[in-house]
Amino acid sequence: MDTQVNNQIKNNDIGIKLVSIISDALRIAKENILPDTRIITDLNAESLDVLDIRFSIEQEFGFKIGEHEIFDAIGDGMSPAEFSELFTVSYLTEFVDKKIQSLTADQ
Amino acid sequence: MNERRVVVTGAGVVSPFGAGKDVYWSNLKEGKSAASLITSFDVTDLPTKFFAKAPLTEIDLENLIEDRKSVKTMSRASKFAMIATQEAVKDSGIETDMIDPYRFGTSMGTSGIGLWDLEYSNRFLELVLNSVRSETEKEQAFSKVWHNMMQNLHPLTPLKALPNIPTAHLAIKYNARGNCQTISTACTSSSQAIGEAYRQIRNGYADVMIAGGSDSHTNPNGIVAFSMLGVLSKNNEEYKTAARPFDSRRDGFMIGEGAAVFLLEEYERSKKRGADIYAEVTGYASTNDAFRLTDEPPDAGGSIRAMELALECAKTNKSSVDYINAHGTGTKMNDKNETYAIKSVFGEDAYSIPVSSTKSMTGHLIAGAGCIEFAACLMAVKDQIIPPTINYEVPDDLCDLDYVPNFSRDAKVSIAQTNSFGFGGQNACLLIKKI
Repeated sequence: MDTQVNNQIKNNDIGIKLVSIISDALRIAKENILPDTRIITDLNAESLDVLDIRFSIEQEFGFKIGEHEIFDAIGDGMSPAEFSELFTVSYLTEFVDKKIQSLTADQ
Repeated sequence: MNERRVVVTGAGVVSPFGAGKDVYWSNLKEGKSAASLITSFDVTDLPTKFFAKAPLTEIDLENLIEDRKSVKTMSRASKFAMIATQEAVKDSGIETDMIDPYRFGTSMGTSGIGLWDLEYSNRFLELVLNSVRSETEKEQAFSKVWHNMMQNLHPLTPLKALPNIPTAHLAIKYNARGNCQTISTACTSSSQAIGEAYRQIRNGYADVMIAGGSDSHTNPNGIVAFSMLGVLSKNNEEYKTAARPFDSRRDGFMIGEGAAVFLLEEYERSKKRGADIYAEVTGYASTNDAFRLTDEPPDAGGSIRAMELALECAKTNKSSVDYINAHGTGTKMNDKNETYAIKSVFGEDAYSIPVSSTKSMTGHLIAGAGCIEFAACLMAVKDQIIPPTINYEVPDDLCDLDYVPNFSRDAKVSIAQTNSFGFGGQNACLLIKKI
């Protein structure tokens, strides 16, 4: 376990909230959800879990996420398998962080 | 090839008395009522203010489910089904990973309207109210409601509404890759689910089946819907004794909820592994009245035929039936017609067969009725005790059989029968025999 990165998450409000959301959605203990944990590959998230997580993020942070927005944000032309490899907790944290920043900038 | 025999080697129940087959059976034996006044939602303007709700919160139910992640796509009825199945599988002592998965199936009777669980109903109403803040907004309100639902309802909610989801959860958990069926025929659903599972094994398509049913209508929509059809008792004053099948004062049924699930197994296979056997499933038939949706035909033709075909299937002499668990809803029509049908089938023998309606205690579980009453038959055969029809005081001239009034009875029960009849003219009958 990468203690340095884990501390970054612990010190990061968004990260803490996301770990909690993922833990609820997958009924997995929070200590097993680390920054480099891959949500689909390592935690066995199903498509319905991704829907669940997306909805909980929307409710928690108060913005809507488009149907393919998370997928598209990683890059065009990627296969679902490639996406699963890259879809980590820290990636999701960064996605939410950027989303909040862009919404704040819009205001 | 000899005809394959089918036995029940495991049972699990969630009843209005709580989780577990023992809780269910001990209450039936003691002739207890599960009736309670409705406090979980406002019934001020509803004609019926009582039901038979299982004393289990959603959290209680989730805590009883082994695979915690699956609960988020489970309606209340679906949770009941999983809990009852877990108990049945454990009770059977079978090692599910030793079963050929392609000869292992699932068959459940369900209603599939888990969308109307209380939580959803309240959320839905809230969204509607939020969408219409003034009289002038009413015209655009509908599209606003749909939009608000899309934005604010949990996206997994629709999965709770599909009738086959409870069954699918069972198939996934136990790796049952064979025949998987969900039968939704109102009040006969789970009797047919058990009967069709029996046929799967008997006819060689499967060796082991998880079979039963589950339902929950203890929510505002359930009370409203059944009230509109005029089938619920409105005897709120005497709610504890209002479910009184075959009594001349009966005025309808009480809504119950729950599940019962069984492990059905091919007889030779169960013998080989030294399983304890509750009983053999020997007869099953289902028919339709092809008459009207909610009226039974005056000649009770469909229900008579279902009983006769089931007896024929079981190769059972009519006089050897020791107990009938009646559909016995407690509506004026059902109890009169069912009595007539039983007399038509059994002739003079009808008067010497104990016939009881356990709905007097549990209420009517709708899609879960047949299976929970099948459980009562299994227990009757196992313990040689016939559960009573409680709240029976004033006889009705048109209902003149032995309804086992108010107290359970020690009796020799080798062959038991259960009847189920439902809206849509559905009829089903199951027979079991002590081994």
